[in-house]
Amino acid sequence: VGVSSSNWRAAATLDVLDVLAQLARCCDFGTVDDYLELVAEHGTWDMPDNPQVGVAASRRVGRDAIRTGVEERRAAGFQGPGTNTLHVIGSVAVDVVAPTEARARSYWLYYARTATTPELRSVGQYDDRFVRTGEGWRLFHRRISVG
Amino acid sequence: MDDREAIRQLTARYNLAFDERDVDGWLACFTPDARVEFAGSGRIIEGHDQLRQVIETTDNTGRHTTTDFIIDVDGDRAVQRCHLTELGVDNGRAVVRRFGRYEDELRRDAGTWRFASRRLRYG
Repeated sequence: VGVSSSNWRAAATLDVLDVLAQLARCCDFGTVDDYLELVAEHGTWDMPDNPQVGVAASRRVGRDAIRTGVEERRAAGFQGPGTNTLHVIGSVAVDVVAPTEARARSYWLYYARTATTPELRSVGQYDDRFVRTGEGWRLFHRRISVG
Repeated sequence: MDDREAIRQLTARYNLAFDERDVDGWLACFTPDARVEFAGSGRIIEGHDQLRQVIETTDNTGRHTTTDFIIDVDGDRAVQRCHLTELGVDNGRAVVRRFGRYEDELRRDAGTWRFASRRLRYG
């Protein structure tokens, strides 16, 4: 558990933390385009079966495929504005492995019925890779585990 | 890295290492003479040997998350207070198993922050 004091690692850590938070917020409140702006063009999104909410496993490669996945989950009422759902991220550990590459592990909590009595529907972990592009840090690979 | 962010990162690594049974990673979060106290039960664990026994024998299937960090740094020492939420999946349902509050003392040696003591009170 080393802690680097170099400035670029510190700046990258804070940037990655911010992108993680923005991904969650855009998932819940933003547009699909807002969300996809945070994803690298050739990004990958891996999700296993989630019996807690009844969603089947899927693997999406590339921003267009990831867009399709987001639109499907919104259409099904699992996420997005008006669905009264929230993604909350916790225990975020960031490893900046190079000036343009970072990894982050975090826990996610998925709540439903947030407008009335919030119900914790599902929990799991994100294993993410981020890359730094000309537009800033972007999600390059998200591997989701459930439970 | 900013000291407060470094301590938040240490706390996240502590949670993840414990949940993943990463024994060495978890022990590396502590100073060699670290002490963990469970307020309420009076249980006290001191030093890496006792801590190793804890992580190797605890039947943990939960996920530990911490929030609401209040951190005060004074040179190479710091104190932190934060909330614990222990999550799990029971009978296929995501549940909050319990809450807790940490009161921590931290020490920086050779540029690395570690826990010198953690006091956990459930509830």
